[in-house]
Amino acid sequence: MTVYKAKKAAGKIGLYVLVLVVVLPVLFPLYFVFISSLKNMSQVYIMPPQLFGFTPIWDHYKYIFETQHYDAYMVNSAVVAFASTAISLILGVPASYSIARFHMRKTSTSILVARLLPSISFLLPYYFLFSKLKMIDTYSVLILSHIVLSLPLIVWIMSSFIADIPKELDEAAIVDGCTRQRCFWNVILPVSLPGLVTCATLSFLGSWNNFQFALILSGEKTRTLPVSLQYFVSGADIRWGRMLAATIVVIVPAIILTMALQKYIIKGMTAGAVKG
Amino acid sequence: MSKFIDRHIKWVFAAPALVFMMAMIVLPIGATFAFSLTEWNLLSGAGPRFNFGQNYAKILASSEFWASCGITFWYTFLATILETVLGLAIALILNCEFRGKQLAKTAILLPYMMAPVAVGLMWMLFYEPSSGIMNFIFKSVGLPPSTFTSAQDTVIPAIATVEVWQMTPMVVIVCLAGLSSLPNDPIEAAHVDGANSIQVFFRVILPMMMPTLFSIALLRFIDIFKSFDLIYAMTKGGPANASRTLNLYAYETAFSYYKFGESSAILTLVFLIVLVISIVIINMKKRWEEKV
Repeated sequence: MTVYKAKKAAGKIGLYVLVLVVVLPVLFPLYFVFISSLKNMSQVYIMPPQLFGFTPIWDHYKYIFETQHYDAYMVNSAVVAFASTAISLILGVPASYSIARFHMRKTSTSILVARLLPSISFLLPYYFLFSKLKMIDTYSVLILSHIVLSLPLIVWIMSSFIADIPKELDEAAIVDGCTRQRCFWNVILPVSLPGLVTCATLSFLGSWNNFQFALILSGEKTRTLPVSLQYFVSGADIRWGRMLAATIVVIVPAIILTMALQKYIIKGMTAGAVKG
Repeated sequence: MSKFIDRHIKWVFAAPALVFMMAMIVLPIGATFAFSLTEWNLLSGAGPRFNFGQNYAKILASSEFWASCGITFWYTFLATILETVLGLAIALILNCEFRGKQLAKTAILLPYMMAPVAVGLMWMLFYEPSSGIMNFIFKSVGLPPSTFTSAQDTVIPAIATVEVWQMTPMVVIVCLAGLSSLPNDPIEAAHVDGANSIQVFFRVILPMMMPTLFSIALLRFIDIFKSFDLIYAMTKGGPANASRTLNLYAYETAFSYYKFGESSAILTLVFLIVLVISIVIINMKKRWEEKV
């Protein structure tokens, strides 16, 4: 009996070691980046690194907000992310309802294909068209382009989410004299709240993290956070402290959202990948 | 009027999204294809002029295109295989019962939710050849220092490592969902018959997981194939074009040399490759769903 117990305990310890082997390579780099953003240039390069007990300096954060207008970039990123998510939900959720309830196979397949296409293959015409319309470096063009990314994502997740809601709910409402519109608004939307949270989170982060569209379609007035990061690199010379502080500013909202909404995010990722 | 809406409600619901996608995706792709048939250099000031297949002939004959093609596939295969294998392994560990499981899952998810540009730049700090932490770790465990992103032969594995660090969570999450939906009976039966854990994994779990693994690997393949942010942030395609994938090649042709016609032709080719892979995925999925 004791042998069995010992074996079980050993298995348990072995499991925790394995978990540590998996989690440490994820968390240590993040911790390392954070502490490096609180050191000056010469300290960053001291190996072995001092992991605790150094005096943190907040100069880099002060610098990027006071001299580099990071507050403005944050506002830009937030405006674009909120607006594109909101519009994508308005366009995408009713379409998802149609796809889920009326089995619009072709529509759903075409949207799925859109999700898989490389975004650069429509970027050149955007650049051409929007520079002709003098819309480069405006919020509207950034919002418009980010909807192109979030709309397929939302339809993808929501149509599989709504398909899982029992049809009897709709049927009961319709028997009671509801129109489809009322049924969608009063019955389906309230039950789909978890799905909506999932979509909104993933779409918000997708826009917040987007680099390629903003690189080409934004300018000085509408520069978003990810685009601003590359300006710390000039040739081989990288201003590490400032850049790492900026990196932290970019990733902290993603970290907070992930910790708060982990369940919803996981649901969205599996819906998108497994059911499609 | 309201009767009309009621009767065609499914199109009323779907139309806004469809019209938007039409205008913002289908038309631009058509435009890219039209551009690809023209001689068009923004620097020369002249507008686009039709030259039919000349761009394609030029690109398909250039060694730069084929080099870039090779780099793209090498990067894509390397990262996809690593992500799939690692993702399944991590999912198997996280599938066990232990305290702090939710915390471990959240930790694993973090890199996936971060901006690829930010991830790429922070890894450039670790990869710093003379005083970065990676080479410090290499030295501590007795490995020779690596050149990482600063040499032609190590740049692709170095970037692929970062891609794997960031995107494996996607595979882990999907594999965990797959594992939890597996029927328990065959696994228990195998254990009862005296099979050890390794045999159970290779003979019972792995075959049952194959469809899930297959579809997530193909999805990752496409995402990695078209990835841009990470490579652009880390090397901009260098050193000496050793990490210039097709996406970066097209970007450079358009926005560094302003050859819009040629760039459009490259984009059309990339689009066709991705389209073919997508159609293959969707068909496989359909066949798999019909079987189930």
